[in-house]
Amino acid sequence: MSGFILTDLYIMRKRLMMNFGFCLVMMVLMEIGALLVKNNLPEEEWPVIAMTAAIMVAMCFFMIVYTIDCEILFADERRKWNAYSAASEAGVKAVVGAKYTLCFIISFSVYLLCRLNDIILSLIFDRTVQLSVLYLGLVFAVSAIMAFQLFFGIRFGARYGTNVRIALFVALFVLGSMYALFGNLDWLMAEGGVKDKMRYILEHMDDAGMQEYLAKLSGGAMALLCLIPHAIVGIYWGSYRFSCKVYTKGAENYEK
Amino acid sequence: MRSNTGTESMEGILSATYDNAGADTLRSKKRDLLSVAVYLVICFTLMFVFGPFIYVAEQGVDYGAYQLVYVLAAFSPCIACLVTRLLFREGFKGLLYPRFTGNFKAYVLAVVLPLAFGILNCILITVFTGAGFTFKLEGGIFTALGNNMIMSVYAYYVMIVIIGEELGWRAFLYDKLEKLFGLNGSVVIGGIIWGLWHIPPIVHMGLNFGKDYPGFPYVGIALMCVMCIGFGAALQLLRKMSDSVIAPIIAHAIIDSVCNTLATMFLSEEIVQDTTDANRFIVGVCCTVSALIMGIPAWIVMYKREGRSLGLLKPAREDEGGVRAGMT
Repeated sequence: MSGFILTDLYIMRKRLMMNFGFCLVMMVLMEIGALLVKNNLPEEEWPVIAMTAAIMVAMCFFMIVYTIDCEILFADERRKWNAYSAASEAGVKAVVGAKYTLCFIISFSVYLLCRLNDIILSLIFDRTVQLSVLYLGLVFAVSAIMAFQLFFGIRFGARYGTNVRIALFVALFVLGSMYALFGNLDWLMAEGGVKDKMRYILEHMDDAGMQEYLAKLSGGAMALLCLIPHAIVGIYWGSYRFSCKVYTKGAENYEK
Repeated sequence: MRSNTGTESMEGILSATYDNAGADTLRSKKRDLLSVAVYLVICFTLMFVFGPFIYVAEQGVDYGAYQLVYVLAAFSPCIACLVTRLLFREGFKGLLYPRFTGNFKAYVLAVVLPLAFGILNCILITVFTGAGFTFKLEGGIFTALGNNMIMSVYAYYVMIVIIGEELGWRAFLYDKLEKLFGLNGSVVIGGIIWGLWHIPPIVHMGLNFGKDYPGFPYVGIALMCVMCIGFGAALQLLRKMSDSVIAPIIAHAIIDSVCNTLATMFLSEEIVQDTTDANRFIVGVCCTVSALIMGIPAWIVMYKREGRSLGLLKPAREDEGGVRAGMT
């Protein structure tokens, strides 16, 4: 499988270097900006500036990584290659597995870049900036979208996969907006709701009193929310298995 | 005459080959020993220099270098592994390769084994302290489920931190020690080294055993070494079964996250609320015993697997069944 991963990496090398280079330049610029801003602001505002800088960098990084992930499908979409790889000893599983693994590797690399950014911001502002749980959430979000996009891309071609992704986004946005406008959000937004609990957990993840707090939580909504990451892992795995099954059939739709 | 010369020359070639093989083995052993020494110097230097600074933050002091110090100390085995591999040109191939196919059993065990350890730990704490063993469901089954679900999500985060440890211990040190000292040597020596690596947290924050016990910190360090021998054996078994370091990473992360919630769920309030050092020591000793109860069977299984692969032990029944099935 590593051979297939290296093939995809080689084909996408220019795009990868460009995007990751852009990420690094942006990170450096943001940190220079933070250094300049820091001296002109009172010390009480430093934590807010540090957090904002970290979140902005993370959002941009994940937007960039997402475009790279989408490129994986387009990297090598040829019928002859499909026939060759399916006939190879490694087989379809390795070809498909390489795409899924590469997606995860790229997302994880961006996670590490975000953590590096956290460390540098901590040194600049002389206080702990640690948003690793947020970054992990972003890795899960990207993985969830890619699970659908990769499956549809492999089955119906990369362009179709991209269209499915856009449709999925629009559908989720519309449904979410409808619920936010007309649904009951007490369980989420009210005082003591899931929002408050999540914020507390994020802020006090390493505290000794965390166990006591967890013991007092009312769990229905929390249990369901916490199921989401496990469900994403399951969906990602399921998507890979189904993609393996439809890979040969899907290659008939390839353009070249 | 001709044949004699031929035999002599053949013997000469064979003896030269054996000599070369022996010399190669010796050279390889020396190289492994040197790489282990370099690994240990880097790993322990990082941990002992930067480790104590982590615990300043535990006292509530916020400082900018905390993140950097934390990464350098907690990831010291990983950093040492990468640097050593680079220095000795061993390459990084397959270092984090998961190898799921055909190793499903190992990955199931990577989840089940730590959970069994957590429950066993609760039982032992109950027995040793004489406190009540209850199944708390004040908020309903969903509350209990919710608490465990939160910690299971937290396990993903812990997993990333644990990569820093497992890449060093399981993916480098234990493998090298096994080549040098055999299976038993690797489990015992590896466990002791792993335990000694925990000295800064044991001394500064009373990791696992608190600070108020006779013989502090030496008794705590010795107990930690014993605990690490047990855990090390179990995690190394998972490493061998799955031929990957991902399974031990999963197991280690579950031990460090979900097991805490199990204790909150099953143990009576008087133990959960009691954070005094005396209680922490008893809980730590129970944890050590549980680790040994989990580790010794894993060690035996590894021993049997190794013996079977070397042809020293009888093949397992399922192998015989396989042969029979093949014949029919």
